[in-house]
Amino acid sequence: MCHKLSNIIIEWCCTFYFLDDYTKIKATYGMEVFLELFWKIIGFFVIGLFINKKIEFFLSLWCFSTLRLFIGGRHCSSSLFCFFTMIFIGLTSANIFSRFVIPPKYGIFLFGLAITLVIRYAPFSSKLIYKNKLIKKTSATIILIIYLLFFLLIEEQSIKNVFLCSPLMEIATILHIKDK
Amino acid sequence: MNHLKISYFKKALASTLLHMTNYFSDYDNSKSFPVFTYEVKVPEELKIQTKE
Repeated sequence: MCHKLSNIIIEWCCTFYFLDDYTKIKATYGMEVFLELFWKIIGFFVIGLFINKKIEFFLSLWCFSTLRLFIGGRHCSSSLFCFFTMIFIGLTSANIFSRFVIPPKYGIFLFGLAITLVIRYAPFSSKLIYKNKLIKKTSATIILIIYLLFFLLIEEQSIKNVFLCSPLMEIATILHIKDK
Repeated sequence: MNHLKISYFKKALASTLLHMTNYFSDYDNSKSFPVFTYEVKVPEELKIQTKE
């Protein structure tokens, strides 16, 4: 769907500007990526507006995505499945994990475990050069330390749990299948 | 006059869209991993060769 739409849009753009074959392929790909992102983000906002714990829902998606930018992870087989998985992650973090009372010492232990797993397994792709891997590991570790600070400083139980649960779910996606 | 304005607007829109696609078509895992868009098949022409 997005591929067809991006083709139509780029063809329309070509009526005004001349594009060579390579630029046209690149523009079509870029448009498809944009449309995929666009409809999913709109979808998250629409669904987020209808649930009770809006802040926790959006915060969990933000925490998950920020960490994912640096460490990557396993992906779903289709666009729609990816969308529903993200909704599931957001709802699980916002509605189920947010109910638990996690003492700070257990939180620190879980963050320690998360950082260890990031240092050991991240990033998901082994095709990167060593320098880039190191940058990503370091960035992800810094993000986790910031999340830990939020976890320790925020008093609202449901919000502080999001900073713990979302990163753990993201880190679970880099385990087992490290890279193909 | 109106026709000219609409034509200019369409051209500006097309130009903006094409510039925008430049940002999204930069497929390079060394910068950041795709978050929601992995299923978009990267054309062979755009794949960046990275050395181990």
